[in-house]
Amino acid sequence: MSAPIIQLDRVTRSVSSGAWTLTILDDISLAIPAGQFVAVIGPSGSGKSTLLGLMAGLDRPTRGTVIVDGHDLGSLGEDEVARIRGRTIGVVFQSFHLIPTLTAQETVQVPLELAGRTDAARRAAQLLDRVGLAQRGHHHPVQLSGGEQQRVAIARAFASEGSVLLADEPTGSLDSRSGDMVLELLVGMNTELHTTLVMVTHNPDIARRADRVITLADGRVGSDSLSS
Amino acid sequence: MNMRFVLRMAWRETRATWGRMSLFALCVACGVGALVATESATAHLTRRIKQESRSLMAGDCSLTSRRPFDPDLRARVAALVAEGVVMAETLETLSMVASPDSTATRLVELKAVSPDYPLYGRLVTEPADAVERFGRGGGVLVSPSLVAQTGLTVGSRLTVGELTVPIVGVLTSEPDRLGDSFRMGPRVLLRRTEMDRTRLTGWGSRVSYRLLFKLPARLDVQSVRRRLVPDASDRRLEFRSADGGQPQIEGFLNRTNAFLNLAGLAVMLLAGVGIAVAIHTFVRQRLETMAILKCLGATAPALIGVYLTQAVILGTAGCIMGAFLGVAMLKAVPGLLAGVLPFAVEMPPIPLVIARDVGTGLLLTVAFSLLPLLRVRRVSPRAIFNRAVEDGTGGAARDPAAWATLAGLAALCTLLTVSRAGTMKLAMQFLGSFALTVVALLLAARLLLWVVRVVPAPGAFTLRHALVNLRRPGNQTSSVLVATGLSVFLLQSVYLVDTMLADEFLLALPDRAPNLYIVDVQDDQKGGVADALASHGIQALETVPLVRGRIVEIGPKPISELHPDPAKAPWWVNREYVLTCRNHVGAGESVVAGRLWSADGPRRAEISVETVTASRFGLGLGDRVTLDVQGRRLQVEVTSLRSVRWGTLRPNFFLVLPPYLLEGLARTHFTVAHVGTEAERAALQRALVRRFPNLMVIDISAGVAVVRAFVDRLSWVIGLAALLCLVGGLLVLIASIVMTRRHRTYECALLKVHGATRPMLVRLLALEYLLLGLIGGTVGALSAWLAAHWIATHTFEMTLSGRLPSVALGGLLAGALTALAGALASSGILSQPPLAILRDE
Repeated sequence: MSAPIIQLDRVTRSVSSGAWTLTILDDISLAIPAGQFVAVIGPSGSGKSTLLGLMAGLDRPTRGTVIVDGHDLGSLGEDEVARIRGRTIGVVFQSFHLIPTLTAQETVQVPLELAGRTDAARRAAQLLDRVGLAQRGHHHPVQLSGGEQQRVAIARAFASEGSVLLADEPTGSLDSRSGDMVLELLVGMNTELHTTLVMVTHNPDIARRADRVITLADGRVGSDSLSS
Repeated sequence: MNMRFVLRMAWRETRATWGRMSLFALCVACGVGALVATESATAHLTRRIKQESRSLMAGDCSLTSRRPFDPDLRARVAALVAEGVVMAETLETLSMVASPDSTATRLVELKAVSPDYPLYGRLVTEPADAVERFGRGGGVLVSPSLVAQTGLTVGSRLTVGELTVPIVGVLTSEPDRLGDSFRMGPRVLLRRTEMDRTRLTGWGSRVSYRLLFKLPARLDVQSVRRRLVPDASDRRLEFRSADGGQPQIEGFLNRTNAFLNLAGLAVMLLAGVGIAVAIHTFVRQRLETMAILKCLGATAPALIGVYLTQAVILGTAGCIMGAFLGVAMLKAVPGLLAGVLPFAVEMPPIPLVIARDVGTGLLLTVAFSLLPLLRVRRVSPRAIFNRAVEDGTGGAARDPAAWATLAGLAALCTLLTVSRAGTMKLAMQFLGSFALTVVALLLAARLLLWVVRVVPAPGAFTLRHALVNLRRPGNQTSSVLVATGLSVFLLQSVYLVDTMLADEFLLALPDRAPNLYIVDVQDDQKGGVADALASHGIQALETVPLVRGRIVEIGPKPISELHPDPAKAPWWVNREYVLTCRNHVGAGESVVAGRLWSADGPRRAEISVETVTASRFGLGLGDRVTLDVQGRRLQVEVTSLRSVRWGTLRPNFFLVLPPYLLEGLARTHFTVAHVGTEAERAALQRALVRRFPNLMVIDISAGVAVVRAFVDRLSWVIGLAALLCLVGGLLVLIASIVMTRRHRTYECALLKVHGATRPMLVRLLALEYLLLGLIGGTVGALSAWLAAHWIATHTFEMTLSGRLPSVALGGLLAGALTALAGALASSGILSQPPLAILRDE
């Protein structure tokens, strides 16, 4: 087995409000090797999205360490984490989170421009072509269907050619046909580009296609199994 | 920082938000326009006055005295003339003139001039060759107003004192006289050699003797000054140089310049607040975009760079628009100033001023934008998972960068204000009142939000929701309060300055205000003058005795110890004061401390002092003052302080004594009367002068009309400043309303879904804005009143009495206007179908 690209060591994430404290993730340790497709499942409120946020460096653990591609995210400043994210991590959200003022082409260009790529426009056009939206580059999010928006988001996530892709219920807001198309794209591009894919999902069919399934319950790892 | 990303993203954001952010550019345009117009106008005026200074003085320098020049001085002058200095001499006095051919009588300003006069500039006459005829002697030149008032023409004879001479021409321009404004009467110009024949320069006459000098290049003004006035403390001689300017004109110009420059800056600062409000709201609306960009790897400096670049793009567009706006406004200024100044002033655009003001506009745009943009650093990308992006407002108070930016902004504003106000004191008063008003408005907003939170919500639906709207997340309470309050503050300040000037310059006189002054009435002429008035059916409004005296000691200290160097002492220290005695408070006066003596009270050596004079000398009740009146030393105690409104045209005095103290002293009397028509005044003038040739009878109605016309012009300029403030304030208000439009559209759609009708929503919105307008307007108006009161008392040495009711009315009007503006700017929200709005969200 290759060395882990994502490693969580005794990670706890809790939030306080006044007198009470809510523990969302409780003492979780994980190691995800490069290239693995991991599905994270569990009931609502079990901490799936929080776990993904910690892996993306979008949040900090209350205790424990999160190491991605050799970087201890908890020890770095926010801007440094942002730079690592730009180089290494792509994120796909359930509600797409496209910038409403940018066209599809510009949306995919943004991470490439942030990385200082001079071929941003050409590469963005290739990626849009790859997700089947070559003709929709000049359209704004409001002019696209939900499935199309999510495909733009996938193209954006793969744009930086990072080694990790994190997806938070990417098909949760889509009908089954669009959902299938998005899933095929994610899995297909993950295989093509040899990325590590961590996907939060409620869908058991998606989980069955993963190399590994981690089940969360009440903020703890209930089960962690490799697919046969 | 990746500049390519920053520039591209800034352009994309600008493109997408151009409509909403155009208000931002308009705010900048308004501010820069005001800066360009005011600074260019004042630069042109100052330059023109400098250019004209030699002509305005008619020489390089001058020496003035109230007495004939003594032989020693004449010898010093002769020595200078021997070295190539050209000298001209003038004598000026007031005199009544009459026509032997008609019944016309007028008080005129008589000026006798030597052949070399003027040394710079020229006399312009009608007909043009009248100057030569005047130069040959045997005639006088008169100003057009004398011709108009008396019907005399060229060729008519005029009796000046004991001399009767023909009028050889009409004097249309005289270099060192600024038209007939602020003059006691029309000009009559005669030759110096003929002055003695008038016998008007004898003992007791009030003549101003002046020598004008034109210096050769090798002599500098200061060396001439030292040779002419070796004793700098000699107050009998007044030396002026053209380089030193015209104190009266420059004093007026400096105050006007400072006022206009500050008005321009006030609009720019108001625009700055508009910029901050727009960016603040914009940042809040773009939080999700920022969070997404952070997810994609954008750093906080890169994001600040994006939005700062956007601010600079919009600010540049605003600055360019502002430059055009300023130049357009500048074109209107010569028309506004026509008749105010004795020369025409052209107002072409000044590229350097435009460049500087555009730079200032951009600098302020960046400075005012940076403060709200710092929040970008506190936007956390994790919030994207919660679907409720935090607004990043928390923690600003503990953010050193925010404090550093605020300090930089304050330093920049101080620098700009000091450079424009001319004096540090005025700059600090202006900035202090501006900053205190902003703080007061922010505190008022906090207080309002606290009250709304703790007081139980009322039952009425619209009122309840209007109050709830005030404290909803992302509310606009602070921004609308600051916008409304600051606009009202600036407008009211301008209004108060305007009314202060109107008070000072006679715009608010009653119908029966004095229009005829009778000066130099002797004790034994009092009855005769009263009889003459009565025979014309007129009763004097007031007759007061006058004596002249100096303050020689304040407490035990001689006045010379207070200001050891007389040359540097302010004018009020060593001046001769005109005193009166009476047992009552005069018209336009009120006792503000102590009590005025009564006619039947005990005789005490006491004095009543006008408040500004008292503060100049540091006098309070119980302090002792020693006066020198005609050689008699009067030691008196200050027992009352009076506030005086000087614009009533009634005789008012800095110092008033009990009548018994002036018994036995030589005094004259001053009578003021109201006489209905100009013909009646002329008839009375003739009758009085015929019977009492020593009297000066002055019809002041023409002078008052001139001053009124002048202040009227000035009011236009002030009105322009007020208009700029109003436009700036409205822009900020509309900006803050429009920027929160999306949020309100969504709320209104939701309320509609649940059954709210459009009239209900209109009432709700109007009520919300009415509340904000009323509170903002009241706080702004009160701040303006306090600031104007402070500045009036401590800078302009004027009094600002009353005005609170009109200030309160201003607050109410601001509330109504804000409600109207709020309802109008929100009207589009109500016409949109709710489903489309909800789907978009």
